Amino acid sequence: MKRHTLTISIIILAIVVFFTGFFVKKERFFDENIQLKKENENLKVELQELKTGNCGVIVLQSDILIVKVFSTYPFNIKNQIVVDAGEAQGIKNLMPALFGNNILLGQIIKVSKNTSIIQTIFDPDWQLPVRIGENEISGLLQGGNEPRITFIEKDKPINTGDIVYSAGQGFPLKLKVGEISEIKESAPGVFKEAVLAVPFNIGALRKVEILLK
Amino acid sequence: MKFFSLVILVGVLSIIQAYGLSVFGVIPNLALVAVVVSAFFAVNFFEGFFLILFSVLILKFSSGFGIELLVFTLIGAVAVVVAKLIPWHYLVGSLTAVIIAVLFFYAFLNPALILSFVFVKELFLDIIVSLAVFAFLHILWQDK
Repeated sequence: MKRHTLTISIIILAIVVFFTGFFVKKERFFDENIQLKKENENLKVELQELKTGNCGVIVLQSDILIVKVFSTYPFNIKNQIVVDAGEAQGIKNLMPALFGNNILLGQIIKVSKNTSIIQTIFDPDWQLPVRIGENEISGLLQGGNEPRITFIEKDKPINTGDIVYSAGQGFPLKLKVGEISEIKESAPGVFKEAVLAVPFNIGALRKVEILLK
Repeated sequence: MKFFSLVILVGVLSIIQAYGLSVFGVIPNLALVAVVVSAFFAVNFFEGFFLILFSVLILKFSSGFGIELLVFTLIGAVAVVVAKLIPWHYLVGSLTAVIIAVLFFYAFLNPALILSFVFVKELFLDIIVSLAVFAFLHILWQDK
């Protein structure tokens, strides 16, 4: 009986500790860290544009609505997040969701009066035509826990670190999606694949940006 | 008291699930594992069904009752019934039930993912969690 009571006490203690201010303090630093990451990513995009003269999409601050994230979808099957803004705040279906001002995170797929659901690039059902690097090599972004770029022609040169931009209708052309982190030349057929690295952890997001125009 | 332990266990794992805890980029299905393994320790059907509904209540993702939670409820309900019928040792039975439950969960919602590495990784994590849950409950049930 003692062992039983002890185990239950440990579980209750764990729950209490989890919901106490100890974690709130940590979360504040966590939020600041994410904010810095966003600013860093925005600067990287601007720097890339200056270096290459390859002018990507310029998102105006006035076109952005910053919304808070309610929850993340709790299974691997889909990857969606719920945010605290909806029709009443001017959100419409298919609007792009961003991390910072320049990185594509997903797309609004369901709008209620005061909430919306964003389908993220980690959703296995997500697909988007993209272009890679300065040579604008075409590929198809296939969502999932580890997003991949498929249908890259084998004879087209790509490198790790190359920036991947959106090229699909419904999104601003040349919106950054991420960077190539690994190339799989051994894929069967005439195409090769690449793994996409994104600069954010979907589970850690507390605020995201919605592109209203 | 033992039923209370099951409620706490399912509650804690469902809360962690609702927060979307991921391990190496994969989200283990803690809630399903908790419900399925607990079904082998529940005294009767009523306790098993209560645990499923309790978990679904915590997991409720957005307004409405999504297809995912419906599948979750159905698989949990089948596990509760099957747990009382299969003659195998509880450890073998619960492990087999967890593997089949995860397989069916994917089969109903996105069969294409069964052939992916994500499924293999999640199944591996689910088996580890189910062993831990089983060991935890087994120790509690040994205690007189």
